Amino acid sequence: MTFLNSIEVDEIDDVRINLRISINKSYLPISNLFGVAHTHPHQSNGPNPMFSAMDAFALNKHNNAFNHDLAGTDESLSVYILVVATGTYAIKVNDLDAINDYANQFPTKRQQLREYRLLNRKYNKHYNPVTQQSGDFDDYERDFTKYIESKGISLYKANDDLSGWNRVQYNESEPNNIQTTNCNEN
Amino acid sequence: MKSTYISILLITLLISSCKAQIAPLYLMNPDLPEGTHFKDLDNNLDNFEGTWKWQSNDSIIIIKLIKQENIFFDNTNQYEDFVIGEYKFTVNGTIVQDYISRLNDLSIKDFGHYLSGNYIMHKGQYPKCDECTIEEKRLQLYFQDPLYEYLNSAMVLRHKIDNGIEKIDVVFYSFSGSVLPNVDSPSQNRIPYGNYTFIKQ
Repeated sequence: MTFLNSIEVDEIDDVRINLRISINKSYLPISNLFGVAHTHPHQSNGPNPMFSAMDAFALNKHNNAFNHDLAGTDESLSVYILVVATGTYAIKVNDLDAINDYANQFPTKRQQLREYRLLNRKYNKHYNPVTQQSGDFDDYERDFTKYIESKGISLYKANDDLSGWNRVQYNESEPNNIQTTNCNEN
Repeated sequence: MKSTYISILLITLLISSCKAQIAPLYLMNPDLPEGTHFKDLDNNLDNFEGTWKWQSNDSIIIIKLIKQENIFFDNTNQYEDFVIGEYKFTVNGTIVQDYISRLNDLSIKDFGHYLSGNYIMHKGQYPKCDECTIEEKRLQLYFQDPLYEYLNSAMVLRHKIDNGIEKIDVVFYSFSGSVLPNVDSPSQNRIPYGNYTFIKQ
């Protein structure tokens, strides 16, 4: 079992709180950060309630930059957490080569913005300008899980009481095209 | 002669059937067919074209925005009306940043410009605009400071006429988290996040 040894508030504004999380493990200097958590707390007027392509790039960058210990890279530790009004999500690396291949397709800021916008435009379709509300959580889960297919990234959602996690995957044969698997049963 | 007329008619039909479907820019949907042209049918982008100036004490920001029509994006194979721009930032008469001349460089495309985008925003979308009417459309552009390229920054522009003077209210903000290159790396651009009001020049 791994224990958190620090949670450091990195930045706070009215819609976003970034935390840097470190664990009690031997790392090279400035390399003991393995996770980042942030929030999109306002369902009605906040950013889209799901990870973006920039978050996916950041997970890869974070994994490559910060997650090296003396024994080498352990990509299973890298995690990005997102807390939104409809729940708590996490993304992790499940295939190092695949996520590196994905990120390497977008080496410039221009290319990253074009890719970011592509997914964001799908999210923005769910916004209702009359009610000024975002879509349902499964709209965003479907868009994001479809987007990360074969990109070496997996999505997880915490139980309401944060007692466990479920993996969320895109599956066209499932209701709403979303397959949920309880991580504790594997 | 008759066969010539038929050929011309067939070619005309073929050309018209291949003509891009036009969809309004504010309903930009990547699931529409390839070849779709997301057009600024309501001329929302026109309000933001031109040169704009913000000044506070000894700090001055000049931004210049240009509307482009029918720009092709090869990652969607769709066409879009688009806005590119550049800016100049001076403090105490000293130039901190000046990228205006990049607008003349035709090799720089779409998001290669330090101000770029075309997303038409409604009043309730972040950053929310309480003063906006339900019909009012704002413009979101991505903002880049090349010294801090790791930051993900954007700006939302709201056009208004204030006592006969044309202005834009601008909110500079971070739209996504960033991985800092090292512990001492700034988490702000040289033009800080916040609210600014620019006046048309």
